[in-house]
Amino acid sequence: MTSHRLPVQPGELIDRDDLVDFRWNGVEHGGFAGDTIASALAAGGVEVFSRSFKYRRPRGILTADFHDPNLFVQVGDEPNVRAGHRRLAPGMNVTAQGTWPSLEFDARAANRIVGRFLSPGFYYKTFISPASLRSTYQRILRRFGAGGKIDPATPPAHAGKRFAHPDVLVAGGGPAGMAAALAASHRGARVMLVEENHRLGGHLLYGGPDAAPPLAELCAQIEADDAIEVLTDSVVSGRYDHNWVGVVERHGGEEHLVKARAKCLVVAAGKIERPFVFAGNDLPGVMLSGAVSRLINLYSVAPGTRVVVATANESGDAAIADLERAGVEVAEVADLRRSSSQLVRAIGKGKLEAVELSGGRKVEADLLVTAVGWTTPTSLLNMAGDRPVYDPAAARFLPGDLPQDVLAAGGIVGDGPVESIVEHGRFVGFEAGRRALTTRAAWQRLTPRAEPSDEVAAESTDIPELPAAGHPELFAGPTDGFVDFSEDVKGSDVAMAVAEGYDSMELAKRYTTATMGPIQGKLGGVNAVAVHAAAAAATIEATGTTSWRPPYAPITLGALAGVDEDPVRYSPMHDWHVANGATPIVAGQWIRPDHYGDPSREVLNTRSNVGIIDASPLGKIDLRGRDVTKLLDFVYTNRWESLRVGAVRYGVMCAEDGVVFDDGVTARLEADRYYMTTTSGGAGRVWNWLDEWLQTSFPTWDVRTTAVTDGYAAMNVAGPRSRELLERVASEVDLSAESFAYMNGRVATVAGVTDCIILRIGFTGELSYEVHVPAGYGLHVWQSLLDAGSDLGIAPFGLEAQRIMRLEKGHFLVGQDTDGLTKAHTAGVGGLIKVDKADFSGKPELLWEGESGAPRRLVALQPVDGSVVPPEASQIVDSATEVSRTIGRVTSSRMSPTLGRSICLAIVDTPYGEGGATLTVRLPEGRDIAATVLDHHVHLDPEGERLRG
Amino acid sequence: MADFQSPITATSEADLGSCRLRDESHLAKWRIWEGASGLALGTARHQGGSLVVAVSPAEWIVIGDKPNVDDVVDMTHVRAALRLTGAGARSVLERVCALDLDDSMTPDGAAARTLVAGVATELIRDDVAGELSYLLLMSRSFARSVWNRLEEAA
Amino acid sequence: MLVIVCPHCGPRNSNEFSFLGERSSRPAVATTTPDEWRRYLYTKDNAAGSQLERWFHVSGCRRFLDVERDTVTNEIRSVRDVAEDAR
Repeated sequence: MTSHRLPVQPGELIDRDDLVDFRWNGVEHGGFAGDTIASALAAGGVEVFSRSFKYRRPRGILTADFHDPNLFVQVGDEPNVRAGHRRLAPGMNVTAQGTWPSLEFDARAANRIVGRFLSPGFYYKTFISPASLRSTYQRILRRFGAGGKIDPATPPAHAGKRFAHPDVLVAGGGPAGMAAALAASHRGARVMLVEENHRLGGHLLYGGPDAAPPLAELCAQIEADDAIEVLTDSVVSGRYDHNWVGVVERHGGEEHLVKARAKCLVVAAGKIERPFVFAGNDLPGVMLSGAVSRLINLYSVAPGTRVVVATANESGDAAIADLERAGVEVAEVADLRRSSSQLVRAIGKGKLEAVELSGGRKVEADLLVTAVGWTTPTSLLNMAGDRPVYDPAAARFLPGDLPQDVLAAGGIVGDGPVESIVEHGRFVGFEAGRRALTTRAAWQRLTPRAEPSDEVAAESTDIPELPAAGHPELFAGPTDGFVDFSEDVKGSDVAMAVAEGYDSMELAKRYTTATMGPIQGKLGGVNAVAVHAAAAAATIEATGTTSWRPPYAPITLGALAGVDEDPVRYSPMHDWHVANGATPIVAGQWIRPDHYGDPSREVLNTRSNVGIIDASPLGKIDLRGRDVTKLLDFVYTNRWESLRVGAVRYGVMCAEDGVVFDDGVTARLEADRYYMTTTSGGAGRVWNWLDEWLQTSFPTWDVRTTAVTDGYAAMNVAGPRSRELLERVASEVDLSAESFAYMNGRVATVAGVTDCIILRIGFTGELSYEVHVPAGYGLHVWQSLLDAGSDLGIAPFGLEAQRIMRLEKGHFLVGQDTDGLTKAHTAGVGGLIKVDKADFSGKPELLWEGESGAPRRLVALQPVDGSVVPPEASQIVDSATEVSRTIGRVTSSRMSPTLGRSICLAIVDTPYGEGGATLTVRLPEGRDIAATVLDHHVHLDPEGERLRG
Repeated sequence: MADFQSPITATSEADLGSCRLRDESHLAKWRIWEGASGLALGTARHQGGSLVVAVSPAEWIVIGDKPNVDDVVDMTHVRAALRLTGAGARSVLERVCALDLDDSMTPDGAAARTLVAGVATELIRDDVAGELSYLLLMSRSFARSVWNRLEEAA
Repeated sequence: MLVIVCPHCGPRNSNEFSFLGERSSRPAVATTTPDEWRRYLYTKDNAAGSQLERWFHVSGCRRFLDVERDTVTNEIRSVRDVAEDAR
């Protein structure tokens, strides 16, 4: 291949002393440091970079930057790398993606023959019936995908995020953005300047020799300004409410997300050159004028040898100057500003060979350059609520109404020489600085301890107009071509959509998929609108743009995911559990021992000797004040005023709809000090619930709540020998049955640790004590109990054994045996609902449920064949009728090691829940089994003799 | 009495390069509702041997000696305390905390309850001998997760 | 992510708060009817425009707040501590 590298160009970005070797489709290539993948390949004579999405047409360079739809390549195991943007690195293994069998010959290009099937809506029209074939269609269609390949073995790349608080965030580091950043900084603002390319400068970078002096000056000023944080190779991906702005920092392939709260956002996104719609507009060798200027001025690559230029603006004229300076033969210039001049079609087989101009005249060429105008990148403005307005005189959309905290600067607003653009940026930046500092001062005043900054001028700066230059309305020529290169959508496809009734642009977009590919209409969005408007005989103004949504440019999932993991909670005894073979389970946010090998054995040992479980996740709330009883009476359904000091009571909490949302015991430790326990999962919710009522309804009550869940390691010592064990380690407490009865609580010293709280309660149904130890001594007490109980047969038990034991006792678990519709009567705690209290949360609903009777009830159920454990959520059916009807479900089920049979809790329609009734449980595999309803919830020891002994 | 057990596993100090992370969970901590009313919300002040912190109206956290008031809840075991000290502490914290930590918003002596690594945390800017330092109090069970996240962030 | 200026803590991200819905007032329990009570539980105005809402600064000062927010623009017009009004 011949080298297309030009002699040294002024301002080139490549370092000719630094050779970089890489591979393209398995072949060794060379380039220079500073090259993009595409520029190095173009210098090496590569013309075809990809195959198009639907028709597999060969595609070459179009824009030579990040937004080039034809330059998606695979680099190593990274798909969809944009070769017009990604810098060359030594050893890169670059391949064309989605080609089969090769880039040069793609067998699927044959579907040009079947191209008529690929008309708009073809998925809807063609692959609909028969339904049985849809998955086959899907599998075959996937082979036609144009994306790269993901290697599942690639380790997930996720990188940390960071938060930033710039006063002014400038999106776009061209002359306007740079000037805006400088002006805002001079005003005293902290500025973040974000530029998509690897260097600041925007179009000045490839603007030829004239652009070099102003660029150098701006760069030097930015360099010298410490208050401006410059992020290059980065992109503002989205603007959300209250100027929450996402910025993606790219470091080669690794991306980091910056979450910035900008007080003022300046959008200086410039203009994006749009392609022209005409036959052959996607042939390799057809380029936009910007691509030509980039290739020549940045990378010193000759984009062709014999050129036709079709220009309607100064960008095309600049490309002509660049081509001439580079010594490329300009065979013909078609000045499209003159109505007599027309670009009709590009001709060639696989690449450009000739150009047909007005009057049928054909000119041989290997490069056709078009310069027909701009698509305005208004994404960020759209996201801020703006509806851009079409200006027919400028032939592009311009910003409309912006909120106070968003400003637009430079080319996105209007046109002019560099000085005007810089001037505009400067005024906008100055005003942005004022607005940002006003907000900063307000926030500082509102933030305790912040240092208030100086007063900010109240008067806003008048920003001089930057009028958009006149431009002919050139969108589509006399022949049919592509409006969307990423999605292979032609002008005729959009017209057909209109003919089929998709007269709204938003609908036609979804139907044709124009502007929905990876480039998201950044290049040709306005072309699609114009073609749609023409077909619908409407104006572009009336047709309007489609909505732009985040992200502005694709973000890797790794950057979005970051390293954020939900925090997990560890008990003070966690390391002991790990060292002693516990199988962990995540319950809520806690890591807990599920079991230590054999949950059944843990149950039997607890029932016959003594067991100990780490119950630290149990919610614990310290309540103080003269009015705690009033609060308890309000949040629990039962009565509390009679609770003596030293006593413990069980209570159920209901929400205002009467649905059970938590339960637990509360102990009165002193006259005005109570200790509430909640479910493990409900700890935070209950604390918030108490504070909500106190703050919003009872602000005069004297109650102070403190969540102390983490302050106590809780361990439940359960089993017939638990008292004997505790007597060995506890002091300053009389544990005898007479003085420390069931449902009592004491403050005691355990294993030398003072201020422990012991509650005699029995979730497992055994004689048991819940010992709450200040967390920093939890492991010590745990170990002391195990040591002291070794001759009593003590063994730890896990969550699973506890769940079995509570089920044997018929205790329901909130959220397991109840759901978001289970009111208190249904849960079977009607005896605890004291509707004669003046008020409590959920009272009206519970009063009415009590009067009308609960439609469902929680029952204990035992399968007749005790060897079968119906899985939880098994349906309970009435099969007496012709079509069996669901009348309930199993909410908990286990094999009981104590009883040697399966046991369940279930919720059933009330008429079916009478004790002694036999119900039909339908197992998931479809088999029905019979099960008997018990008279009560308790499977084991209904008299509670074990508990109260 | 037994030794106080740190919520962090093996170590109580880590060198994060640009800053140092230390477990100070053993410090006595208290919650009170009276006796510090002169202290403005959002601030922390050294008083005698204690650090008094105000992050919520009409209540205070005291780190140090037990306050001499009627109603005190011992928070020593409820809240873990991690201290991040050194020039790089801010840039580490910025990776896990959305608060604006600039001197103009969070100077020495500022205090806030906010999210750090997804955990509700009392964040106290408490420079030590002129060196940038943040004291972080969070529920003890989360301390190990937060510790690990800070190490990763560095 | 909204900015909510907490009257106690200053400007904070909205993920420090939990949203408790439109403000509603609790009927008198002694005299309420199922219709009235269920309107309190389930019926929301869902206004397009200014709306009074309840938020809880759960990861901050733990105070319950009344927030006046424009549901169209997300502009927050006022934030007040509920208890200060309730006292």
